[in-house]
Amino acid sequence: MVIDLSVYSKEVVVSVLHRLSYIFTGKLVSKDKQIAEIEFVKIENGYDKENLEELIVKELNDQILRERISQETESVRNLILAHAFSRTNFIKDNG
Amino acid sequence: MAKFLNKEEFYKDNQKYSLLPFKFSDFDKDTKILSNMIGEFQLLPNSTFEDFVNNNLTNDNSLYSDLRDKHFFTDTNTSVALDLLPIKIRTKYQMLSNFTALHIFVVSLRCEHSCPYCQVSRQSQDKNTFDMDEDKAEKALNLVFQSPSENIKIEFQGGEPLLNFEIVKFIVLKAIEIKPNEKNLSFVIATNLALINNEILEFCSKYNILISTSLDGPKDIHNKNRPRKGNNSYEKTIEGINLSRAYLGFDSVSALMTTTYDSLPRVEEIIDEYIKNKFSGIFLRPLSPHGFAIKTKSYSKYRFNEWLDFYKKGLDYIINLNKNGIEFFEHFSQVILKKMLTSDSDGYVDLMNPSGLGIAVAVYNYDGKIYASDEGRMLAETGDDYFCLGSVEDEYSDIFTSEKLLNVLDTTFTKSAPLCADCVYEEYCGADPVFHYATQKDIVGHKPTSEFCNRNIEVFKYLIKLMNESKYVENLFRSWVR
Repeated sequence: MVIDLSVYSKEVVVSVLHRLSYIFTGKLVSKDKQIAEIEFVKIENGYDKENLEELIVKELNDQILRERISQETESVRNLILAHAFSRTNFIKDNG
Repeated sequence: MAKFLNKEEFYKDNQKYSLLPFKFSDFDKDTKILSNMIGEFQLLPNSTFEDFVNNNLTNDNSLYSDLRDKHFFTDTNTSVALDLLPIKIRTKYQMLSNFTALHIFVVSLRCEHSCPYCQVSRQSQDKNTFDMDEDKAEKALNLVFQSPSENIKIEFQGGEPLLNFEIVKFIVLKAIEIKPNEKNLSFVIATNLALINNEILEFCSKYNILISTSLDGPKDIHNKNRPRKGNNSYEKTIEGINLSRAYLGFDSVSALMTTTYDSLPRVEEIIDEYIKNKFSGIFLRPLSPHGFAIKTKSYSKYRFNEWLDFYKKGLDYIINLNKNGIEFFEHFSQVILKKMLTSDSDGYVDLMNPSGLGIAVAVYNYDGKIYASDEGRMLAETGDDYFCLGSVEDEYSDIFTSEKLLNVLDTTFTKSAPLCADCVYEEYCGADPVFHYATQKDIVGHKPTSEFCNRNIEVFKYLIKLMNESKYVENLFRSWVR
C-alpha cells in the first residue's frame, strides 16, 4: 500500500501500524523522500488486503485529526496543567 | 408587542469557539465518543463530530451546550472551563499526595483450603517456615509509619492469616503503640473465616478490625472452588459472616468473589447468594493471571470474552433488581463510574495511573521481602521476583524511591504509553504493569493485543452504552458514585 508522506507523516503512519497491529503486521519501507510503502508481513484470519487498506486510510485520517487537535489545543493544555499543579507540593522548588 | 425577542434572535450571531484538549474514537459505526482531561465524555453522531472539529457547530444544536458544559470548548459566552479544569485535575490526582496508604502483611503462607485458582500459591498447613515472625513484623511496621500518608490501613493476608493469629495480635498492638499521633490507623483481616472464633472476634471488636472474606456463590460453586477437609467451606463462611457481624457490626464484614469456569453460566445465582446474605453489592471480578491460577491452568480455562458476557449479564440482572426495588450495586462498575462521572477516584490499584505499585500499596511478605503490590508477590511465589522492592532490613528511602520502582511507574504511565496516550478511555483505565508483565513479559505491554486493555475498553463502552440508552440507568449509576 503506497503512502504519500507529504500527506501522512511517518509518525502518523507508524502510530496507525501500531494501533492496528492486532490484525496485521506491517512494515514501512521508504521508496523515496515523499513516498513509502506498507508491506503486509502477516494478516490475521478474517481480514484481507483490500479491507485492511480501507481501514488504514480511515485510521490515518483519524490520526491526523488527533494530531491537529493536539497541536491546536497544546497551549491551553499546558496552561491548564500548569494551573492544576501550581498549588500542590508534587513539584518541589529546588531554587 | 412581544416582551421578548424570538429564540432565533439569540442564535443568529453564531460565535466561533476554541477547542479544549480532548481525545476521540469510534464508538460504533455511526457515533464518535469524545473524552477530555478529566474524563467527561460525550457521544456525537459522526456528522455532528465533523461539524464540531471544523468549528461549524452552531449554538442552536442541542449538543452545543452539552459540549460546552463538559468543557470541550470555550466560547465568548463562557470561559469558566479554564478555571474549572485545573481544579478538577488537581482533585483527580489528589490521591498521589496520600502516598502508600495500604500496607499488606502476609502473615502466613499456610492455608487449610486448597483452592485450585488460588492466586497466592499457598503452602500446606504444617510448614512453620511460611509464617512471619515478630522481628520481621516489627521492622515492617517501622517502615509503614515512615509513609507520608495520613491514613494507614494494615491488611492481614495469607495463605490464611488466622493460622498465625498470634502475629496479627502482635502487629495490631505494636502498631497502636508506635503510631505517630497524626496518623489514622485501621485494620482489615482477609480471611476465609473457617477458623474464626469468639476469642478472635473479641480481639477484632476491641481494636475495630474489619473482616474481608470470600464468597464465590451458592454452596456447590463455593465448595467446588474452595476445597477443604470436610468439604464445608461454604458452611464455615456463612457461619463466620454471621458470627463476625454479631461481634463487629453488620457493615464491618465484606465479601469478594472469584469468577471461575464454573461461575460463568451462573451469575444470577451468585448475585442472589449475595442478596440472600444481605450484602449491598458484589464485585464481579475476573481471575488474575497469577499464582496457582496459572500453575493449575484455571486462568486459561476461560477467555476474557467469556468473563465479559458473565459481567454484562450480571450487570443487567443487577439493574433489573434495582428497577424492582432491590437496591444492589456492582463494585467494578462503581470504580469505573466514579472516574467517569466525578473528579474523584477510589484508588483501586489495577485502574490507577500512575500505577499504584508502591505508591498506593506495599506488601510485606512473611519472609521479610517487600513487594510493590499483592499481584507482584503472587508472581514471586511462582518464582519471579521482578516486583520485589527489597526487604524489611532496608532503609525506607532505598525501597520507595528506588530506581527500580520509579522506572516501572515512569515507563508505564499511560499518558505517555503507546496507544494509551491517544486512547479515548485512558482517563478511566490504569497502567497495571504486573498484569502486562505476567501475560506479555513487558511492563508496558503491547496494548493492541492486551487482554487487560481489550477487556476494560469493552466494560467502559458497555457502561456508556447503558447510560446513553436509559436515563434510569444513568441516574442509578450516578447514585452508585455519590
